[in-house]
Amino acid sequence: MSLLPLFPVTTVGSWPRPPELLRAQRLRQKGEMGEEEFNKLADDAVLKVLRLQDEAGVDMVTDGEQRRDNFYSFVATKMEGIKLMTLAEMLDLVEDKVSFERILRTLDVPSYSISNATCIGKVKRARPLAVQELKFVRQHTHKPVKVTLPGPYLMTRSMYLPSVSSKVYRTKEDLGEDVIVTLREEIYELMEQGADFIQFDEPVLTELVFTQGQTRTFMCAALAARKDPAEELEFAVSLINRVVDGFHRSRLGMHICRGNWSQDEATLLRGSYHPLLKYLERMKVQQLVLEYATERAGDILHFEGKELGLGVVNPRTENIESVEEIKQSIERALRIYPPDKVWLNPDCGFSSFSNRPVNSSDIAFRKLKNIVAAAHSLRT
Amino acid sequence: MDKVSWNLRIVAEEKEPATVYVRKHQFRVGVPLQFDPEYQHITALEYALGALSADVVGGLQAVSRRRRLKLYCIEAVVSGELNNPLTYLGVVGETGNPGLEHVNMTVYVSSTAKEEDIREIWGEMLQKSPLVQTLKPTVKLDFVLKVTA
Ligand SMILES: [Zn+2]
Repeated sequence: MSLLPLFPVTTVGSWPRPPELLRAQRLRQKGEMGEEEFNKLADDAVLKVLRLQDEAGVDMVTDGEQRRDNFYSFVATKMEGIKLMTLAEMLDLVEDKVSFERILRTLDVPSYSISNATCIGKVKRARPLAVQELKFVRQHTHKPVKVTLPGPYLMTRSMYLPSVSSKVYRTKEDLGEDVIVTLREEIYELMEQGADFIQFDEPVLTELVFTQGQTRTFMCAALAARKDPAEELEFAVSLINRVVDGFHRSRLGMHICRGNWSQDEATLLRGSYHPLLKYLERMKVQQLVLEYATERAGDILHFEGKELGLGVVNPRTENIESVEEIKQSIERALRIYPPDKVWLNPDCGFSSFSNRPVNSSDIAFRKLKNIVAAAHSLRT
Repeated sequence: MDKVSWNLRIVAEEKEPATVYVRKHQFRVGVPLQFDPEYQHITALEYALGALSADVVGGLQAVSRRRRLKLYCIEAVVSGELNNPLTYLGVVGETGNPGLEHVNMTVYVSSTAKEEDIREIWGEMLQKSPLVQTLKPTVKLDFVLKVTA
């Protein structure tokens, strides 16, 4: 792995897919396109994303999650016991139908367009989840590579649909045991293959603390009835710590945000990371990749012993943050963190859901370029 | 062609929702309309809106099959407004009528076919839809078609 400069610039993962790849994803899901043909299109898309990151001057690259339909349900095709179910198939089974309907109407999307990886049998890793993605990227870049994976809490929580999953796992916690095994197998292989950074995405943690008594905004979290947030957060801590236990070769991080499905900021969750602080500090990952480019996230907090992946641009706005603005954000973080603990990234991916990009590739590129320029000017 | 008619029988016992008997089938319908989201039965108004939407969705399926154009999934989201629901309740001083005034419908269609071909099918369906054609002269129908991947 090449040595990283001060303020390494990276992304949170996803990049808008070209239209032909979106169409191919649909055909692939319908079994109307073979794996080989799909992979050819996806390879081209990944190469383009790598080129763009290179041109922008990013220090650590991702494959833009081009092969995935979204940031978490892509694992369905790679695991036994998991079925990708559209919400249309699940409407009958969800407990909180009123919340569901509200979310769908706010999103202005049909229920058939959103899929959830749902536990229907004994869960096992049948194929690698992201190792092939990493291998491909490795062949085409000399830069350090970040791989994103859905975090164990997100996986367990979203996969457990009581009406179908309880036949196999009595509780969500029981399912968590097999999710841990699955992710540990994956991490082991990713580290063997030289992943420089493994990032777990756990957006749903914010849902636990910001939505008490309010509309729920995470589709995957609305599947099951709500439990006590403190208990759920403890569960999340224990899951992640068991997943990463003993692994040291790659840098491990966790990304937590307040949702990335709408360009309307008012529909996304609001609140400081403060209620999560004592839990996040106990998670045995080196870096917290957090959103700070939106005022909804509140003030920058000090997380003891962690690196900060500082969100300096909003992936959902057309406005391109200026180099000066980005530098100011970094300087704010430097009042709390030593320079060697600060990494730079957008607040989230640019297309967490393949069919719902929050920006164009062009704007994403220009935002990254300004982050790089800000980093350069602060390094000298 | 001789006039064809469709025959149903609706029976309501005291305080019970009505049962509709049609051919070999039957279903129950509650009061004409309700404001309480917890109300236990499906109201006549909800059935009417459901029927209108199912007419649109089913019509699209039928026309697309005939034209051999593949639609993976069709989904309609509907909301209806009455001219003045308070007149239904008999609120003193309220004017207007309790009739349907406005129906908003978004129809999502998932297909990898060309959008213009789907729009053509959409147009044909609207022309042929019995319920759309019934309501069109008196109810404001705002229908939007959205084609997704
Ligand atoms: Zn995010």
